[in-house]
Amino acid sequence: MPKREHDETLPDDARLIRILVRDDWITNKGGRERAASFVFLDGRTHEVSCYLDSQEARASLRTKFPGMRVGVITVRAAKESGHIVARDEEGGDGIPGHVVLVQVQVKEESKDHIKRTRQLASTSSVEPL
Amino acid sequence: MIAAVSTGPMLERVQPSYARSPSTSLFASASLFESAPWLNDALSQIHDLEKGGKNYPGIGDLTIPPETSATVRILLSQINLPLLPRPSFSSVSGGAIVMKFTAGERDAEFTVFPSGTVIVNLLEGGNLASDDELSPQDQGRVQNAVLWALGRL
Repeated sequence: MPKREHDETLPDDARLIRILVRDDWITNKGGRERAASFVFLDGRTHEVSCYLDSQEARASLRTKFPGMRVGVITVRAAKESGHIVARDEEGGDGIPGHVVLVQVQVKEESKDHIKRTRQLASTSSVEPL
Repeated sequence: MIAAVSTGPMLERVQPSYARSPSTSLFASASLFESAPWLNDALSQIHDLEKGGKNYPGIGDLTIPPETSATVRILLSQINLPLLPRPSFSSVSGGAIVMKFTAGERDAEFTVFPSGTVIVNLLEGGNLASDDELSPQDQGRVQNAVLWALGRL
């Protein structure tokens, strides 16, 4: 796994989108839809793919995932839950603005890791792609 | 004269099979399978996740490795309760599974990693009440988490 570094050029209010590929990746709490608690978790690489929100990225994603929705978070929320946001253009399967979220403050696969992932998901909103 | 074979106290001490404490043997699991309809449904859902797993380049790999599903099945075998609400199973990027038992406002949510690590979250009204790492073989803690969700602990 390459060493990842947070992209300091990203403003805190930059929006990151993650495709919600399954219906059960969306939950409804108190009438508000958001990404399910585990959406920003990866069980093997511990790196989670997102895209910097842009018209270009959305257009590319729409061709690959028509009709799907996205979970939206901010760089600030990612940082506050212990993640770095690292650019990874090569990992985006040709879609621009690919980044990975990596948890750096707590041990991988620990209860604190799950807690931070849940915290991040709780800040998310759901939008049409 | 040869003494008669005793049929007394030695045999009387043998316990009938139904009086044995819960076991994690294959035999016990098979018995539970017959008496617990929720288990049949749960195993079917896991099978569907395994079969329907897909790799989404640029998003995440949602294929379920055998290690994860084996751990989930071991967890299920620790729950010796005939009647339960239908659990839900979700595939997570990177081959993990989240298994959830919900009853009213309470959830017992198990996150199972391909490495075999299991984290349990107990939630009330969506808020974390407690969390812990556990071994899938730990029958008491697995079952207690489910009993807590049911309001029976």
